[in-house]
Amino acid sequence: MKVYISATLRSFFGRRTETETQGNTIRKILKDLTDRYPEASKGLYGDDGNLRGFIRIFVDDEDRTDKSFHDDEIADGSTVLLLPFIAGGAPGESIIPDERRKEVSLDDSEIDRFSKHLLLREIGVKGQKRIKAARVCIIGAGALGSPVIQYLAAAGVGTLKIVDSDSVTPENLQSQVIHGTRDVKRPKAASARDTVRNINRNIDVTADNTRVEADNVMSVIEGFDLVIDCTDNYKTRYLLNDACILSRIPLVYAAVYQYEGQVSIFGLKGGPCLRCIYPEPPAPGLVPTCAEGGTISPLSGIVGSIQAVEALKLIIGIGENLGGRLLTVDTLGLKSKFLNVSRNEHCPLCGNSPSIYEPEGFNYEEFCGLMKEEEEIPVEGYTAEELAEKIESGEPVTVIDVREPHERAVKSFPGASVIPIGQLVRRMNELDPEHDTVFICKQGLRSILAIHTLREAGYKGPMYNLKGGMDAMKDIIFSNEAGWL
Amino acid sequence: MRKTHYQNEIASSVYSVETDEDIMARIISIAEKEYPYECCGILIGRCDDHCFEISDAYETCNHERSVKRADSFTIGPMDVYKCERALTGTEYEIIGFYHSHPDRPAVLSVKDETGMLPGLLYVLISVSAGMRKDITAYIRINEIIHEATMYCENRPKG
Repeated sequence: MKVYISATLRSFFGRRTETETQGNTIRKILKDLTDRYPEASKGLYGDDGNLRGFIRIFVDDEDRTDKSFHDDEIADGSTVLLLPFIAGGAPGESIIPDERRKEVSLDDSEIDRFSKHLLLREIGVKGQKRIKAARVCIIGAGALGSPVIQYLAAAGVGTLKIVDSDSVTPENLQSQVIHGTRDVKRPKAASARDTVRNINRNIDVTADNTRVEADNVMSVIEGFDLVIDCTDNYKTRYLLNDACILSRIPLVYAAVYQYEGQVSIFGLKGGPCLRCIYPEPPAPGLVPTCAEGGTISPLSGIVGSIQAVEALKLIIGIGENLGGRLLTVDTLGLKSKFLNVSRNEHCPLCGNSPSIYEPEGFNYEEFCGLMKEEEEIPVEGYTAEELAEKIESGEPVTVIDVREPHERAVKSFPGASVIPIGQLVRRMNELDPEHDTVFICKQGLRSILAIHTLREAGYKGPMYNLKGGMDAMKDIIFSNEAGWL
Repeated sequence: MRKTHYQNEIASSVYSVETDEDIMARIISIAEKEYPYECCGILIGRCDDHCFEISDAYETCNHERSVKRADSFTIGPMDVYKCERALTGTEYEIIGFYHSHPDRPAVLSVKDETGMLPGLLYVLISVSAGMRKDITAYIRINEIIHEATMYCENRPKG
């Protein structure tokens, strides 16, 4: 078989451009060539045994470099071409301008502390100075915030702001590794700040205990180079997206649920924002939050660590970042994939003719479906105490538990009938429209959805919601069922 | 001497590049025309062990996806093949490639270094706000990258 070797590969094959080889497949031809030119083998193949990225093999006009073609028989009379693939490009652009980098210096202790970074060609002293000069605002000091805050602190980010209005609860400790048992009941922001100080006292770290709302989100992120979304609810997520796009601050977004997570970067030049991908959040109750749906402990460690790496890459200006791509990680199937996402020119926020200019300008409750725009009949409900009283007094109450089997296994409601939410309409005739029926779930959101679903399906009986769900019943013990909790 | 990586150290230069002002002006005007995207092309000429003489430059299409063209370039393998075929029988050959770095310095990026073919000349043009800023040239010999000294003169034709 006649093979044409580009003269640009002369350092591997000498100046010969055309040669006759043994074999009628690419694999055999390559074997023959490397047997005859032992030096070429080192040049053609990388340490992993694969062809190097700058080699392309064409059969006639078709690119056949991919391994899957290597055993295909090549027709007589075809020409095999061994060509170079010339590619490269400018070094990435950092979100920290050179002037800011030049303002900082590294002292001896920092050179020691960050030596592993300084060894990396792409980071070096310049990159480490950019990291030190960076100002990063992290919204949420929970499961995602834990790895993000700790890694950014350890990596040497000079200024960190941690925003979270919640306090640490014992159930947080399963995945929020920035807090410890003795931090329970402390504000998360303060607890996270103390962990950062423990890592490196030289970091300028601020704990902000405020709840992010439409009227304060712009001031919360003002002056920062980068915002990291470590929140667990749609309202804050959309607020942050809008504020970051309007303030032209890149946003490293992530979300986790049960075993899966996703990461992306919004607000980069020409890239999409959250609204380009998900114009609207799902209806409340349809998708449980992490607090309700649960997550496997290390998931947020994986996803949050990816957020931290992306943040550092943006700060240093290296590598291929997740701008324009959404990375999904499935820890149960141990799979991950990239989805290409692009800017939507009709996006109300970052499109060609935007209609959103101020985060205050629109109602997030309505947008997030927390306030229904159509006249929906409000759902009546009982508080945990009211329901307990009713049951204690012996009133006839039918309780329907709409939770999934594994949730009931943790804590079951005594005497409740079990109808998972997906089977409600089909099993509607099991309900008695003459009696009061109380619907329960974990936090009292899915039960509202259950009541709406039944109403739509035409059920006419009186229906009540257990406000706050089983979580609210936690501290109530029925005298006749003392052991149920 | 600029140290960047223990594997790909840039050694002090014993390599030189000779060219004339017309060719350089042509490459620069292409780089400025393509701004804010990267331009790329093939350098034609002659070379011996330490000296590269650029006699001509051939502009090629940047095959990168449009969103990536601001900081990446790709020269199609078939473009190289066609150019090489056209040079058959002449005293000239492909001696290297050029590309521009819009709004970034004329230093090799990691992408550039990874893709460098040994023994060939890589000329980089940094363009800032549409104007040429800096021109550098690099050669990889085995695993070592050398910066070459450029000599540009107004040579009489022929």
